[in-house]
Amino acid sequence: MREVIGSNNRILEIDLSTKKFTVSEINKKDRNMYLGGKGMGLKLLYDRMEPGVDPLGEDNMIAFTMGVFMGSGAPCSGRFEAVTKSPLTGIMTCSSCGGPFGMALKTTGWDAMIIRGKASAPVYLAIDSKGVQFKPAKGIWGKDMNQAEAALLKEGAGALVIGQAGENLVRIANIRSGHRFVGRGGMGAVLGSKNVKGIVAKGGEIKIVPAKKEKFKKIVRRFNKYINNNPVTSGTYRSFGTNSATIACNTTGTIPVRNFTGGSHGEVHKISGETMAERFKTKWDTCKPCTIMCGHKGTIAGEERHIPEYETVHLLGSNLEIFDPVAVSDFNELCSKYGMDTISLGGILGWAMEATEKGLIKTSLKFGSTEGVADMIRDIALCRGIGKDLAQGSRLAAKKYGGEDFAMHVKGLELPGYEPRGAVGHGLGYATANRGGCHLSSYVISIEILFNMANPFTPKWKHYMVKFMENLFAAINSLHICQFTAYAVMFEPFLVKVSPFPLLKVLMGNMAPLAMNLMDVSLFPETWHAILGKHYIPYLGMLKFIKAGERVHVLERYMNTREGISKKDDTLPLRLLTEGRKCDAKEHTVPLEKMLKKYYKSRGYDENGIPKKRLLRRLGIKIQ
Amino acid sequence: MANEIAIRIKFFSGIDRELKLENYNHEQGLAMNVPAGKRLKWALRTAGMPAFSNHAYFRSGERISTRAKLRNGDEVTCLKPSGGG
Repeated sequence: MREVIGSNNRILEIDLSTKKFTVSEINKKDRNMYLGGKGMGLKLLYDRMEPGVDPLGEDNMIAFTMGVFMGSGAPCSGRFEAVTKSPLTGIMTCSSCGGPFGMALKTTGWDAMIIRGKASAPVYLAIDSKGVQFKPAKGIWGKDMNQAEAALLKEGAGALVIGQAGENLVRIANIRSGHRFVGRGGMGAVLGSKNVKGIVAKGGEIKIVPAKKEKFKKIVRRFNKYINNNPVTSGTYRSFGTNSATIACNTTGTIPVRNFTGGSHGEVHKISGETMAERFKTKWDTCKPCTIMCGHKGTIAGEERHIPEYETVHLLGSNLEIFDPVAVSDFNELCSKYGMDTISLGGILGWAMEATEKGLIKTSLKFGSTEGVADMIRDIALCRGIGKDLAQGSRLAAKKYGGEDFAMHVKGLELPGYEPRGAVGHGLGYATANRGGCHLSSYVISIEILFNMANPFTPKWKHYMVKFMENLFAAINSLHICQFTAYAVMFEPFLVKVSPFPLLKVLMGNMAPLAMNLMDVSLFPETWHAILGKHYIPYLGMLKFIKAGERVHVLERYMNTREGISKKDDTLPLRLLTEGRKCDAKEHTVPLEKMLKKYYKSRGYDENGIPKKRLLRRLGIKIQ
Repeated sequence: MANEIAIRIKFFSGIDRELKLENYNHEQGLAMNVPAGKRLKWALRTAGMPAFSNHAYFRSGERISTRAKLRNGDEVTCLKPSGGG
């Protein structure tokens, strides 16, 4: 196996229409400015793709980008990024994914892969270090994800596949890499529109060696120590998975219930991480390499299955008032088979149940009942009956049938499993997230609820918290390392550790910029520098890292504004702005307008939410 | 007794197992009668919780500290810090 110091820096560009490929190099300046992963994916498409292309047309491109961390041995680094224009939202979408594909592609010798055009007949792509072979997908087109993946894995170490939903251009179709998914925004439909059933990478052709080996080893030891000391990354995630947050969120009224009307429910303990761990005898089944181990599998209905994640449990469970964990697992298995995003699907089913109740559509769906749900999931994946309309997403379905006020999406992307009226900063994060209703863009609920560091009902300083976290997570997703490592790193600095908790809380509530800048995240850029053999300057290196995150976030925003996004789209479903939750006697709503103005100002956007030229120039983004 | 109040503590995140509570039921939690005016810290110690435990406590949907004074009918949820997905 050939050893590569730092990074291979090679891009594989595939044109499906001509069945040709080219090889290019990652520009060093771009590497420094955009780091890799998400940042690099956006930059590559920004340079190559015109605004206004049809997401399901030949001119749309999809990029798969590995980060510098992948293959280096850094903890929790088995992740890659997919970037394209979303058929669900019509704007850019980026998705971070674990599973074996990223490692396979990187160790085949590619840091990035861009796919454009459309194959004349269904194909799958077989990648090795020399390039790509276009192979007919006759035997696997029409097959589900389990079958397609098993077939492709005979030819390589990692595969990406779409299911029937992707083939049928369902706008919430996803892409699978092992037990993980490129989940949000309908990227499976983008591959389907290009007649690509799957991609398999040979893997094991090169070995990445960090340039500063000794320094890197020391950093990894420190990283693992932080992760193993942290009660979340070493405790609850390992024991109960992502669903460990269920009880805390239910207690604070921040889970979606009955299409985002409830906030909490008395039966939620039946679908909690604790209950599932005990009932299904769960064990770890996680990405590689990983120190946190949040992924679990267990025995459900007599077979070994992946345990549904927090988001799946709440969108396909509590949001539909279904509290049977076996039923939730059944729905999850159907999604894994046909290839659909469980978050968007849950949002669509929630809308369909309420629309049925209000007489806008005719279905057998009913809140609290599992009857008809599995059939509807199949109908959506296969575009049958009303399933064909629901397959377009809740925004387009509501446009056709009515009920736009209770279609729970932002910019067309259905909301995840957190109720923002119980954590208003998280609500601002939904409104401003570049890809639409996304919890991972800023995840301010961790500050407001899970770590209890800020009053969840006040808008005070929430604009700053959202901005800081957006920049940090954009940078982390460009390295690329699991976002959950941020919990372990952020609370380790000496000043944070020795400060009494009430003092930190007062600081966060009254001087958020000071409190957030106490959270030393230098371990991330230090690792990046050690792998590439670059000199790391303490503190300045960290500021540069956060600025790179800001650049990535603002570039994505700028690309979206070229697609017509502005203030009118940075909003929330009417229900969250005007009605209280059933569990909340005070009937809190999200005071969005107040927070949004301050957010724009602190970001350097104009009053319409468009990045100012001055900001783009400061970040080195070429104005197009 | 008039100077006693009834409270209920619900343990999650495996804390009930660590405390070795026999026949513990997540729905019912642990029912306790405590002297009026006592703080949550007192009730937790009585339940067998070690001092300096790094847990989160909620009452009526709001986060409270172990120094919070208990009131009659309180239902306190006790869990370990957690992240979502």
